[in-house]
Amino acid sequence: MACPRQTGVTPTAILGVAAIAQAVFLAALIAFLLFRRRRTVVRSERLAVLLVESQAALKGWIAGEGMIEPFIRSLRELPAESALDLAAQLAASVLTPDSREAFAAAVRDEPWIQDILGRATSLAWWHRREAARALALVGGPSDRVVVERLLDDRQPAVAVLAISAFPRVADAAMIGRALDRMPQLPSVIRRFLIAAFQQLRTAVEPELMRRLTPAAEPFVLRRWIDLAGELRLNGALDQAAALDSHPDARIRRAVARALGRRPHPDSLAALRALCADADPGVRAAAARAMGQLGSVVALAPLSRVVHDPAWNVRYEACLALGSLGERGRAALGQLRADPDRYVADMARLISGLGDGALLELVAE
Amino acid sequence: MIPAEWIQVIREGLATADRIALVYFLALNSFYAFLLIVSIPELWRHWQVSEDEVLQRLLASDALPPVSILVPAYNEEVTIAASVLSFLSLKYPRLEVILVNDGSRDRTVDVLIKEFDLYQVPPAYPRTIATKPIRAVYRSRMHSRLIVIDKDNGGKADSLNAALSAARHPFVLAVDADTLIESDALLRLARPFVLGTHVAAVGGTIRVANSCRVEMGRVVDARVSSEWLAGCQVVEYLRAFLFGRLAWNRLGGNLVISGAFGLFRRDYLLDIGGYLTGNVTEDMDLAVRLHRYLKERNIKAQMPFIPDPVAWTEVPSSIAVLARQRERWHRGLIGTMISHRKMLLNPRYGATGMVAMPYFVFGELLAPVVEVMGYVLTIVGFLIGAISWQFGLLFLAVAVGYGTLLSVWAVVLEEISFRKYRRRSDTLRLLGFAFIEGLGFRQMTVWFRLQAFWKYFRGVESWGAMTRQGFANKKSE
Repeated sequence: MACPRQTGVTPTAILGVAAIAQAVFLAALIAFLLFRRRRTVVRSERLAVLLVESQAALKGWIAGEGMIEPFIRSLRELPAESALDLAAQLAASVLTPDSREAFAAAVRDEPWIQDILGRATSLAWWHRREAARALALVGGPSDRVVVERLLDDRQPAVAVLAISAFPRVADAAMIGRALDRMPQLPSVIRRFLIAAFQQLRTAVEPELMRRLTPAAEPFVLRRWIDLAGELRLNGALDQAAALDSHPDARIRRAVARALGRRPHPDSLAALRALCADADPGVRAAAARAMGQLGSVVALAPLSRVVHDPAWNVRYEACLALGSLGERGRAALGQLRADPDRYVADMARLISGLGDGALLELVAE
Repeated sequence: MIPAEWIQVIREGLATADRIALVYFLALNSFYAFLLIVSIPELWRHWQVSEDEVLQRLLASDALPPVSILVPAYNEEVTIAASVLSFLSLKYPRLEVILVNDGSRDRTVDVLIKEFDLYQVPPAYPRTIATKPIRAVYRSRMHSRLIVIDKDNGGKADSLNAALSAARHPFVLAVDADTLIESDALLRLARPFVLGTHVAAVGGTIRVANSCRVEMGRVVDARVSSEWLAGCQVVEYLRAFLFGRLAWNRLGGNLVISGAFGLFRRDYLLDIGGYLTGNVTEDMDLAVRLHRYLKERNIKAQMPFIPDPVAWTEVPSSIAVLARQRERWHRGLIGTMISHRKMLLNPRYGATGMVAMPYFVFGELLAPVVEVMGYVLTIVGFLIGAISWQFGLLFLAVAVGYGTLLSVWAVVLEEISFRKYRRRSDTLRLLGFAFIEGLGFRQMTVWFRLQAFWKYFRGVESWGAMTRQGFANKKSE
């Protein structure tokens, strides 16, 4: 580009300014990089010292050599987030239920915990997460409204922590509302809610039984039947078993899955009937459930189910046979020579697996 | 003797062309700066999520969707056993590994049969995509989650199609057999499912494994190579992944999801016919076809890039191999852009057609042509006195400085976010390579990319030999 020699702003001058600006910006970036690295080191060293002091006070309290106050005082010296981190770790690993309650009572009115609880309405989800985490530590019946709001948070990490606070604050009405909400929750959040329900089994069962009726919406009913199976609630499972002739195949599949978790003489008979269902998904679930019951009585029906026309039913039946110990393995061995090529192929596939590999597949 | 008026015309022509190059350069670099600014809130969001220990618990949940890992392998007898073990031991609740031996001429299959106690089974799955003939299907007596398919040689895309047909799970992760995936990378890659996002594909970060310490198929000590060729590529990858692809999350989605580490919804891949055989950059072609498919069917699914799931790969350590790789990548880019030219500036394809495609055509595909033109014109301009030396030198300084600035910014982003390189010496090396990269390495790759035009229009379809040193017994520096 021809460089004009006239006075005024020339392209060369513009480029000169750009070059200087770049050099300044580059120098600033490098200085920031080096400064930040140094600051990170200094901060982590300081925090390490404070954490050591806190842990020493904690040991004294847990060993019965000191009171809880020095530990609470040491937590005050830490940044609020670090104090919460430490407290959450303690609650999860070291503290007994009694000492956890004593700790919760002692820190509930501490300024740092009040500061964190106040973040429950923050616009930043990581602040709401901290509030939910604090509630999991110190929450009580007075926090029900806040916990319920956080349970509905659109950020899953917040919702999960609110679920952790759930067993501390829930009453029957709250459990009922959570049961109604559970079927619509994303699958990962639902897993955590089910884990929380495990801690409240006695309170959950009557609420669940009230809902296990043929009139319930199939999508929701299916989730509740699965929940009864996961929690192994015998009363609820008995009620679920009565839904084995429900017109919706999704419900019958759920019933089959639940029956696999109900070691009861009636379960095998019900599963045998479900193996003749019109829906291949129901038949496959019933075959798998027979394997889960682990009874050799299932050998004969399973040996018939392996001739099912649907490949997934044959697959589940062979897997179930494989999980029934030596006699199941022997039955599979015989099926390798079955005149039906598809049965023989499936038996060959499953019987080739080692014990560990078979367990992996059964657990899937 | 050239008449004076002719010289004047040449000078004016040169000045005009040089002005075009300058405007192009300013526009392109301003767009890079824009990408960088856009990437910052994205990086902040991902960093907050990736550091969240509660989310880590969520990610370990068995409610995550099951994933099939597709591994094409060709002549990998030395490393295949360690690679398969590293895939099988990824932290993820439900996964299967489908390894396809693409007619290797070495003992790849024999090694697998011996190491994993394989036994032949009937191919009990429908062949949804046509591939080269399958010789045998094996399962492992030790690992139920391993399936090995032995087939005639048909290339990487053909192998991926065979694996895609055999996959049982709704999501598939395509990887290279020599990719080193961090143990929690698949969990991190699955984060959009936890966050409830409807995704068609997710891409993770590829980093440079040269000079890292590798044990049992995992990088256990991340280092920056001291060799200039690999070191420059470390910075280049950081820049491309840490802010380039992140910014595209907000600007219409990524047109590239790396073939070495990308998670896809299987049903969408089957709908578009799987991988295109004969394309030398099958990953870019696949991503563009997927964008096209989603837009044409009005499916609101995203194709995000996530920065914290990391897979490590060995980059070329010789100029000859680098030349072949960059020429092939650019040839693939030309082919893909020409095949999908209908999308270019077509509002029907939304931001992909109006922003991403124009950027890839004008900012990536044509970049080597314009850059070489700029260098040549500047030199000729000097020689005939059309350009003053002050202007020429400043122009070069600003051009190189701009690139260096972006590279240093990428290093800063790495330092304040994921910090894979913990040693101070590695940070200093990164800074050093950020400066060196603009002084020779970049110009060299421009030349390699320029050659792609010649080869593309001659109809060359070969990949070229990509020799690697391998990771066996590699110690960090």
